Amino acid sequence: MVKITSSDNQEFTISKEIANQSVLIKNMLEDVGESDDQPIPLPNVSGAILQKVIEYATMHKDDPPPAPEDETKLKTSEDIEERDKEFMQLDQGTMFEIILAANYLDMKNLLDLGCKTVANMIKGKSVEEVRKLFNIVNDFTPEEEEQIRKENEWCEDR
Amino acid sequence: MNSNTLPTLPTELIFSIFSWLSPIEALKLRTLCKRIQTCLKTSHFALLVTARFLHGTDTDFLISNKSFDQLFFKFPEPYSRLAAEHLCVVMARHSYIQLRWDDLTLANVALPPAVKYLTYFWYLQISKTELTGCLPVELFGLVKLKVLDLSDNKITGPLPNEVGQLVNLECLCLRRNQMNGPIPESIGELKQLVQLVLNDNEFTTLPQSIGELSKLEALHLSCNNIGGRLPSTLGRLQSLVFLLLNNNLFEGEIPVEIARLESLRFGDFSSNKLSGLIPNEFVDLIQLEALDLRGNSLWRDPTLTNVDIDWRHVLL
Repeated sequence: MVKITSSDNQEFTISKEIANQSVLIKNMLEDVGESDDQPIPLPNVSGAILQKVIEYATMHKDDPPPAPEDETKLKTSEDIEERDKEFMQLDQGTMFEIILAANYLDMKNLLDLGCKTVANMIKGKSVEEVRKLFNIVNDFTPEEEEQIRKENEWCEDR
Repeated sequence: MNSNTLPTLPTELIFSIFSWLSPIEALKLRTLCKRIQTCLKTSHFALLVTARFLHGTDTDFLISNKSFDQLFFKFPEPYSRLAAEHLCVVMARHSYIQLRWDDLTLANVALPPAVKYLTYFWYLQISKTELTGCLPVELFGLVKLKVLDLSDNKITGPLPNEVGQLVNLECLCLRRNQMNGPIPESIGELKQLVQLVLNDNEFTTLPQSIGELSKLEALHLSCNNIGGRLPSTLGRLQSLVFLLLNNNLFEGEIPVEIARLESLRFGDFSSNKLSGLIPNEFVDLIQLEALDLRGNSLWRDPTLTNVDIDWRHVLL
């Protein structure tokens, strides 16, 4: 078993196969060796988020190792397992926290899942709709925005 | 308390998220805010989003697909370069060395400079589309080409002198466009050329170097604005079967050297401003099946009696 602690000092005890899904923790374990049972500090991840990440890792602990990249297979953001879709039914704040945590912990599958989920939320929406959905403040002056739109004219559908 | 929003994510995560969109969709979202605009206009992002978009796509996706056509014809580099390179890789996988782009989904686009990356093919045909603009000089870096067919489009501008670099070309077909200016002197470099089909354009001159094309079988220059005297070097085209020069502005006498075209079967000189005597040496054109000289100011030598040219085949 492996002990990890969150930024707010919550301690979690997880099995090694779950811990190893994070390349960051896996490398740390290899560096410190088996004997050390000191908890591994993860100062960038809160307890609440770590809880969700462990939930994801537990769900995927029996996954087969990833197949080598298939050059003839399309990559699309629609390609998400049903259980993962359910897992990502979260408020936006938590969703971005999980993406940041997956990036920090180096968990490729979870990171891909997070990014695909956000991309799917963006797809098919207008600039205005995306701004509204993610509370993005338009910090361009009207002139600047017009300028970029002009630069982009060649790729508009007409 | 959560302060994380889309624009506050680290650059690499913004890359990862937006690279799941199509390149078009991602570019349109550049106006979201300054931070995202800065990320999405980097060439690193262009590489990521294009690579992911094209990954796993095969010929059935690439040919006649609007998104792909947009990427190649309208996007700047590196998007258009990646599209061209991917097309080569996929076609090579199927050993398709001929590229026929007959169902161009876009109107009024020009051949992009990225055409220079289509290095895999020896056959390039973009015909009966609404291709417009000038031919980019980059096209003439495709030295493998044996067949270049850009006929029935709306191409404008001159035929660049760089065309002489396509030394393996056997067929050059640009008929029914709006190209103008002289046919360049360098055309004489295309020693392998069998067919030169430039009819229905607005070309203005035919260079003397035309005589260098010793393998040429068809010279089709009808319906242009080509003026001046017929180059006497035409007589050196020993393989020429079709010589179609009608509806131009050629003037002066027909050079006697034309009579040396021993393979000539069909000649059309009609509707020019040619004048004078038809050379008696035309009797040497033993293969001739039809020769149209109408619409000029030409006449036969009436004193000629022992002529065995079959004048029934000659329209005067």
